Amino acid sequence: MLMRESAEDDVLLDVRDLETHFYGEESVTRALGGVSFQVKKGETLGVVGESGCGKSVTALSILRLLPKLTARTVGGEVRFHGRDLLDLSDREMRKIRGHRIAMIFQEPMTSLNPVYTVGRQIAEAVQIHTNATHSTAMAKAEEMLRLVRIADPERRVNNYPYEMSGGMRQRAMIAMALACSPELLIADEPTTALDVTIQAQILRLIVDLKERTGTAVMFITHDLGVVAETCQRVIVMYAGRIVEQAAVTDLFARPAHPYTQGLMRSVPDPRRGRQRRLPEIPGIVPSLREPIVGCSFAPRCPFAIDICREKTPMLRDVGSSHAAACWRAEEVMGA
Amino acid sequence: MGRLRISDLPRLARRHPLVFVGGGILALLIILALAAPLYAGDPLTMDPFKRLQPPSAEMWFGSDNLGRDVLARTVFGARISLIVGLSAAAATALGGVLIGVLAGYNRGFDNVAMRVMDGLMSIPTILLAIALISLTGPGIGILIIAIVIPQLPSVSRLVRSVVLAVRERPYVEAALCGGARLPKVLWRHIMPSTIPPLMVQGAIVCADAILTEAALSFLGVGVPPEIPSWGNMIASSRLYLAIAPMTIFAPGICLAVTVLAVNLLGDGLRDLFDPRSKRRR
Amino acid sequence: MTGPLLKVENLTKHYPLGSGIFKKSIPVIRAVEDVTFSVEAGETLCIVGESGCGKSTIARLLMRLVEPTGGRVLIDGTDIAGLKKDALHAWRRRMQMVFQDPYSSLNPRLTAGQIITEPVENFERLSRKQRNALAADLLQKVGMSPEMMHRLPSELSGGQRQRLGIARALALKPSLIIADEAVSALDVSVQAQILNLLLDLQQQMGIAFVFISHDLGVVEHIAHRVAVMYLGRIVELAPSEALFAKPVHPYTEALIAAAPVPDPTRVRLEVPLEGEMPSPINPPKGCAFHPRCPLAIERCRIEVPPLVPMADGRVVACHVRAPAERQMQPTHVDLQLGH
Repeated sequence: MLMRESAEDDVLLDVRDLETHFYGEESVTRALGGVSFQVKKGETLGVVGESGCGKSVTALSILRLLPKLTARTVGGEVRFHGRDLLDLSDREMRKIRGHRIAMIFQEPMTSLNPVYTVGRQIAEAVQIHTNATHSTAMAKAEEMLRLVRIADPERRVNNYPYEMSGGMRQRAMIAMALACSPELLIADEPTTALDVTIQAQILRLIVDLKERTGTAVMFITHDLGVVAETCQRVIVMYAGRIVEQAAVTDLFARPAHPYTQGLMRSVPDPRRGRQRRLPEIPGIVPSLREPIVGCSFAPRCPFAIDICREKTPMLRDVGSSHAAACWRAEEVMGA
Repeated sequence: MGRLRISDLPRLARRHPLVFVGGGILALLIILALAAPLYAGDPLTMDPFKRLQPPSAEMWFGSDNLGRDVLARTVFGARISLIVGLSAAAATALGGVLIGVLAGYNRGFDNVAMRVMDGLMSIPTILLAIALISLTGPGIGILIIAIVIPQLPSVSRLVRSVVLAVRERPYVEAALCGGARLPKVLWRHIMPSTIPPLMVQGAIVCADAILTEAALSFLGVGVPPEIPSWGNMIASSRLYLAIAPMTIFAPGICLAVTVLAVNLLGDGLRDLFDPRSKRRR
Repeated sequence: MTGPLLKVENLTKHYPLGSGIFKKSIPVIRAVEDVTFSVEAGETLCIVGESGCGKSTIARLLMRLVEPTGGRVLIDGTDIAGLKKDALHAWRRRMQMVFQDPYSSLNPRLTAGQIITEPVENFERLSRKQRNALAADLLQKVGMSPEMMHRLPSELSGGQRQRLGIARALALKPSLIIADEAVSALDVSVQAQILNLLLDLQQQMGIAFVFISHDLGVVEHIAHRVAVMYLGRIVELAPSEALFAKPVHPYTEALIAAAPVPDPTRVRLEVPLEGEMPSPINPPKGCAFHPRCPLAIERCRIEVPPLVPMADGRVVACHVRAPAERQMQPTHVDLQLGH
């Protein structure tokens, strides 16, 4: 299929038709309805979309961290170095998680254990995956804190999470994630809870570290500005599906899906005038509890025609390294 | 939201089986206790020739060591247990809300009330009951007071903690910004949040009160001995366990079932009153 | 000419850390320090800054949810900081607030109709019919259908909930609405809808806004004037266009540079600002920004810079960029702009 033909050995993670359902008391929510994409070695892939679009569920499905009682990945594969992660035993999966694929979250305080020092937590992550002794692991922890530019790392290894500021905790989380030199780092809204000046620092840090270590990054965010500054390729998600994927410059220059276009136009931009009404995307996100006929964006789409309401559009090439799931992508790009 | 209709019952049973089972058992017990004169004999009549009889058509649960009808005594005893349990729960909830809400909203009162509560917490229920009853003589009223006082601290602390948490919620601040006065804010925005935990706590107090009454009556400091109560029934029959087991099993099983039903109901009501569990998205 | 709608003078709020019956001096959090500004009728003043800069405390002080340590808040010339409870009750009608979190700011046990009509019922009795009519009217004003009045908040989307929050604020027909991060918790497309709603309301009803936000894109879009805060103090206050075109205070400059821009062709050369905001318990001496400031000179470490009026109608507190000596009369700083 499209864009998949890139040299196979370039591909680090190959997700195909991933489908995840959430089970409620009386209903099933189809959180992911067949998601396919690839992460190439050393690249930064942005995953954008609004809340409920499935971007975090994608990450959790890949790492198999979904809540066991209420959610299940019902279809698709997640190929990492050619092996399907969904087939691995829990034990094998634990070896991959944190070691070869690491994840950082929005709120570092909830993912750091409050009763252990930061240094000890990083050291522990190192020791789980390598047979380092305690003292070498602690030395590694200090080195990692230096790498993420925490001032005074000798002292900070002995700090508890509450003794650090939000920005510093996020740095510590990144240090912990990178301690085992993973091949893929999944970052789920890592700067959303931070102030802009701190966000700028952390984004710069992630970009720098990626260049130094060659780790591929899957960057999940709702902020188009963050995507523009950090990513090389972008996936746009809507209602549990990928609606567009493109190189970042193409996406911003010529969005091919009406949703992407609407999203970009609804961000306030003084170049288009102050105190003027912003272009809205009318309506609300559809419920994923009922099956959707046709394109899920059709009810809100200014371009929608009959076929959009009847047949679900597949992702198709609309340019080199640019694909969109829209029957009228060409017209959208021209608009 | 709104009223409960008969047609809602099957749905209620499916979504909140605890309320249904607990409430059903309790309702049945209340009906049996209230309707006791209609079907059971007189619990006080003694018959020296029919002592410690096994169950028969005439006396379904047999008779006790004084020849009294065990069934009659059990169902009349249910009245005592239910009155003590329910009124202790109601009184504790009422007192707890009053103290808890005031303490949650007034620093000065909080400091005083909570120290008093600390003091009350250190008094053992049984000792307090024995002391009070030895002062006034046995009676249901004094028994309820003796049960309520040691329970007040935990309930008022519970209410206070809920009030302290809820008063910081943005919707409470929003109500103040909209010009709502304090009593209205308390009544409309804060008190409803105290109901779910009170339900659970109330059930615990109720069950506890029933057990305490039984224990006190068993010790002979509860209700006056001639009034049938599960506690003094068990106490007076314990010597005849081998000869007439029904004399102990009837009140004992009733006691266990009632306490269980009350606890089930409390857990169920908490879920029912919690808006989060009502309509999950 | 009548005075401004809202005038805030030397507003200060210190939160004591713990109660100190046995301690001589209690450490305090200096949340808001000597803040002065004014808002004209129908105007939008934005307050920007990072978390902990005191911007939300200002919202709470304006609404009298917390008592100020010092300073005055005047509405139409009346100081509401000194009002007793009953008088304050009446003044509440002039000023309303929209909250950040559309989830926790609505009572989950009440229906949409009950929530939005409650403010009016605090002042007058409504019949059932009046109440329904009012609810329908308010819902329509914020672009919702009247049938929604029977829904619980949990049955509404985030955007609809925020519309309810706005409808509640409109219920008393206020002349000023304080919006504390009112669009920050919303998705971009919903945010656009809510911003449009706020702009429409301002145009139709002439409502003034004090709009508190950390999002410079949003601020630039809706503000007439912008106040930038750092560690409890205003460091720059200027007409929006002037501020974004040419920030004067180095912190304003860094803040604008740090905001991510949805344009992948723009190359960011350097991280605009190193370090983090110091604690408001023990703020740095002199200019609070000096430890992070690339321009800091010796004087910044010693002396708190006063707000100095500039030629284009802005005020700036910076020894380097706006030294007080250059001004004719630096003693009296009038922040009101010549409208």
